[in-house]
Amino acid sequence: MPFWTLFWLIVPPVVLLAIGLIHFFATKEDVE
Amino acid sequence: MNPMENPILFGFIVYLFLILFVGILTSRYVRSQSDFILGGRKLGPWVIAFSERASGESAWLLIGLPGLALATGFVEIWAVIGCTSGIVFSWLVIAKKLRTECNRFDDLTLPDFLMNRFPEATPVLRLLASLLIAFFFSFYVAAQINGAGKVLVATFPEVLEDIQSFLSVEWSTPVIGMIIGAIIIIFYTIMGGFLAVAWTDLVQGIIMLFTLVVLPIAAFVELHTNPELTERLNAVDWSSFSVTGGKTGAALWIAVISGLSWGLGYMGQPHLLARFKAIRSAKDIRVGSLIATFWAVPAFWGAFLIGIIGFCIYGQGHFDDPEKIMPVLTMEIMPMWLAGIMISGAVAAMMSTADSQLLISSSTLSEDIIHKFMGLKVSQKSLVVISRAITLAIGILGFILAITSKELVFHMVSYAWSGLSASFGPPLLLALWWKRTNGYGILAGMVCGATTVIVWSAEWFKEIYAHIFLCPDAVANVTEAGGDIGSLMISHRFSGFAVSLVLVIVVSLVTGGRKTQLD
Repeated sequence: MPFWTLFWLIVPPVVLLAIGLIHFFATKEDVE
Repeated sequence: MNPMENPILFGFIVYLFLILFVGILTSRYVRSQSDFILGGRKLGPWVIAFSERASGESAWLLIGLPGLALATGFVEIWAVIGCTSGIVFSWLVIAKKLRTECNRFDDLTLPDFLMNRFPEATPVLRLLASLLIAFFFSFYVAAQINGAGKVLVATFPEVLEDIQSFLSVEWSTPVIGMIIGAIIIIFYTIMGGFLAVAWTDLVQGIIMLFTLVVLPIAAFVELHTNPELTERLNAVDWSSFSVTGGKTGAALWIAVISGLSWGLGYMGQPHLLARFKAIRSAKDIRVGSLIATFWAVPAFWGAFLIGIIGFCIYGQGHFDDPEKIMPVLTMEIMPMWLAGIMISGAVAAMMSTADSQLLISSSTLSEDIIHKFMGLKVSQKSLVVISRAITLAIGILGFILAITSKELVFHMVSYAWSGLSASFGPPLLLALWWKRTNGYGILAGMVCGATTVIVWSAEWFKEIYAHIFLCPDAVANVTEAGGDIGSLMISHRFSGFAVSLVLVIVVSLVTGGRKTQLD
């Protein structure tokens, strides 16, 4: 499988998940 | 056949006993209608998130999406992006607000939620919403039972033949498969209601995720270590693999919008919204959304990669039905015992969707129509008995539909997802987030959204659309190739949702905005 094909298939979802995880732990539950 | 000699059958039987055990165990905790419909709102984020994901994805994710990726290539990525975005949007934008709002009036069902906020729409709103749910879901349940029968026949043909000869009946093996699937689903849904459905979903969700993550990784390793397959991989022509699918201009935009519009459906599915209402507290939504996201992204990408890797191994024309790719790949590269677990995953996917839809249709009939609309005054214990009886009745109806009118079932399912999305998505989104929404807007959005989806799928409408908007050459090409003109049109998923959204806003504004002050 060409490198760039593999890159675009794997990297974007992993990066998005990592951003989501960092955001989750960096923010606190807002108390209502 | 001795199950000990067949690891796939052994794994499947263990799985069936496990979910029947959950049904019996949870039945002890069902004492009121709220317990039956929403599990008494006691479940934590892990069970709820897995339940929402397992119910949300039927066998389409395990079998259909890999087949589509094999048949059409990278252009299917838009459906993957649309679905995962829709799931994350539902959890981040709808879930918490819905859970908090439902607490105020102790709403059990989706029609309950709408009626309590928009009494000006009269009981017509409750009746219409309930009938739409019961109507679409009866066909949905039927399709899942039908699918479960098919997968059982494909996986255990000898076992079903043994049962057939043991019972000395005339029924075909798919019918016996459907009977087994239907009995199991109906049994544990009647016994444990929401609790049974949610806990079995947890088991089913784990099997589905496991399959969708492990299978593509194993297949990828096999592809690069098996010299014969590496040779085939090197011969693949990647230039034909593009996210545009070879389309340009307006056709490309239509393909992209149609793929992405799958995601619009999630916020309008009553069986998924019930999970948000059933979570222990609004605070748990935060953890739930993280779990659901970490389920959805690997699962959808995994399903897509199964199709792409299948393309590398077998090529596009290898299968008469591309949907065979997942079971065939599993049997070929996995050890038998693991293949047993993974194929159980496909049946698990169907069961987890069918049980949730069965429960929602029976709860809307018992709670919304019999209890609230007809005003039947009975004890909580009697309501649970009524709900269980209706679950049995709808389960049997679904089974009869599944074995008698297969054509009708599949025709209905093709727009059930979009119909529910257009009926409930925009009304719910605006009811939660736009203060001027009123009952008349909600009613107009529901009626016109559902109608648009049904009309958009009709052949006569497709011809009118093609006559006005499409290039005659393109239409002729598709018709000559025996294709569907619908593939050139903007999808009914998008048009139904858009019509519903616009109508809720316009009718709410024209009729003077919010009628009832809730605070």
